Amino acid sequence: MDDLDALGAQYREAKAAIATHRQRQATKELALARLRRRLPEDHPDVSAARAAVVKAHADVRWCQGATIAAGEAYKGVTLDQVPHDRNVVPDPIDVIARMGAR
Amino acid sequence: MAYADLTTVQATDPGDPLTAAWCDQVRDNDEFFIDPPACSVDGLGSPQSVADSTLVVLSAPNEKFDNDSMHSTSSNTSRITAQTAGRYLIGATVNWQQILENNVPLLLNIIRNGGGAGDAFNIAQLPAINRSGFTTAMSGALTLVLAAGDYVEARVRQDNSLNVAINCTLEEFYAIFLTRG
Repeated sequence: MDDLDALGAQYREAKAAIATHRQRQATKELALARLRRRLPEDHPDVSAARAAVVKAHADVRWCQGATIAAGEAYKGVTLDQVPHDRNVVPDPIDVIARMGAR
Repeated sequence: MAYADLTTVQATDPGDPLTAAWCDQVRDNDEFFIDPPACSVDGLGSPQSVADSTLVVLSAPNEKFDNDSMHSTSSNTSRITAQTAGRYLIGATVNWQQILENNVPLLLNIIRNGGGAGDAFNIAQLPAINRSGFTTAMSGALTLVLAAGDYVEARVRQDNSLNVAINCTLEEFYAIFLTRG
């Protein structure tokens, strides 16, 4: 496997991870919805479940950013160029910037 | 972003709400349907010398479009790689410089994963005609099932009796996702 093949595999794995993390987000969202049926909004369990949903959603967004970064690396674009070359999807780009485009 | 079977994100049960995750995947799937993996590259401005009786894989340093990281402009530029498994429409157009004798056979191939046995496909073949001021263009296309990581390339050959090299320009080389394989 040469470098290009390895970069391609990395890109495909990042794409596949989005669906995996979405499945986890759905599980957390359903758990929150079930708690809300029987507990008040200010109950600690509801607050914890809500925080878990926010974290799961952030994980999906992180994977989307990583996918864009891996795809650009395959194409020969360095990570620090990505935020400058793309300005249409702000959230993943912010994530990429935090990942290491310093 | 990638297509995903919605039931892998959330198995819908009566009484359960549809989650934001499920709705986001619906949106990504719609984006996939309207903008499926597609890549078009070329070698315009970079004609390649094709030696007599030699198979030559054409480089493609330029991109027209590529929405699934299928092509690299820095490494193995001749390749279009399927990052999404499926059936693809694959084609190429090349243009040969004026050929200085008649009936020189010209070949245009699409090759998969280096073009071993069963992975080389002849998509166009014609005899060139020598006319002052005329180049010879040839195009062809086919459909191929590609696994994730499979790559395709455009390859040419010419056989002339003068035993000289002839310049050939890759005007377009493309792969467009059609369906699941």
